[in-house]
Amino acid sequence: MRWDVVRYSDGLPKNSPNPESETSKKKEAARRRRYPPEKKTVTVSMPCVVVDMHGIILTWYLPGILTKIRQACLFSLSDGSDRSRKSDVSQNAMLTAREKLGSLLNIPRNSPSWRDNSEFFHQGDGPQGSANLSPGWFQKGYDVSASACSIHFSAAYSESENGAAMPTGFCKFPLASCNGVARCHLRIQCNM
Amino acid sequence: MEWLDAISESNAICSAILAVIHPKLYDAGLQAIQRLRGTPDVNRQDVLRHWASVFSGVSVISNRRSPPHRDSGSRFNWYDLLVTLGTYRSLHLNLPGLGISLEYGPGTVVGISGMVLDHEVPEVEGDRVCYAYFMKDNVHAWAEVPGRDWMDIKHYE
Repeated sequence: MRWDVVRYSDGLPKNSPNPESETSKKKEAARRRRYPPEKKTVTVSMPCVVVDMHGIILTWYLPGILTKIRQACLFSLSDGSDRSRKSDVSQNAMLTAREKLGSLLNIPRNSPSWRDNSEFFHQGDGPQGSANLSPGWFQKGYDVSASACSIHFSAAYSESENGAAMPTGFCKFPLASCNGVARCHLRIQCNM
Repeated sequence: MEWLDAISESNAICSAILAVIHPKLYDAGLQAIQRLRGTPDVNRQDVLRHWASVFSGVSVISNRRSPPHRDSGSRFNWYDLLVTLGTYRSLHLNLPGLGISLEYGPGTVVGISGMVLDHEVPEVEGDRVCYAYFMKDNVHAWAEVPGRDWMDIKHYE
């Protein structure tokens, strides 16, 4: 990049607006006039970093790195097994983990966020939807989700000694109410 | 808990990647998690004991395209870690503000300043899931962990 990222970010909003709005598009167009991108799109397939004019790294691009990590790990075992198949074990673990989310991966109907807009989801062999898990999101226990369809893994509480309501378990949530995107904002200290 | 356990190794791997690409952010994330675990009313939570990551959280996004956007709730100098997986074949992560398009095949990991760079993922044929790891500014503010450093390439010289 030929520009200074600190100056660039000074002009950015801290809370991202809806990227689809006309206002956002106009502001982005103005920003690109001031900080123009490459005239011809550069396609990258090799590992690289993107740096600004001062050497600040904005992006690390690590294509296929998960597989390589797992291959290195399995090579060290020297067990003679089919390494090419097992090299994807980490990917498979994450895909399997998605399956465990099951019905929580739904698309809400009335969310104002583009992230929950059904138009952006497409057909695949697996489910459509998204789920957020943040064990340390909000200490004060108030909800940061604006989605009316939100559910929370912290739906079950017990009374702690000081009277603060605390989640009793990750899995004690009403699956029957999973009719929206699962925003699993785990409240870890509630009503203090 | 079962889900957390299933991704615990992957969480740890992604944290290790962060330790390489932004060591100071890794340290800040670790301090924040340690602060959470060291707070009596917090460390009772089984969730934290099963959370093998220095990130504040993760979004699991299944079969969704993303229009050009920036993320919020983090800090400009921090990275989100994007992990893309699946059975799809051809896909690119586009950075339209830079004029760069990154081949985005399964198993690719991208550390990106998600609040600075607008990024876009088009629709793809096949099955795809993205694990997007992030750190939350408000968690670090509560933990009083600064984390103000940008990652400078001079660090590796």
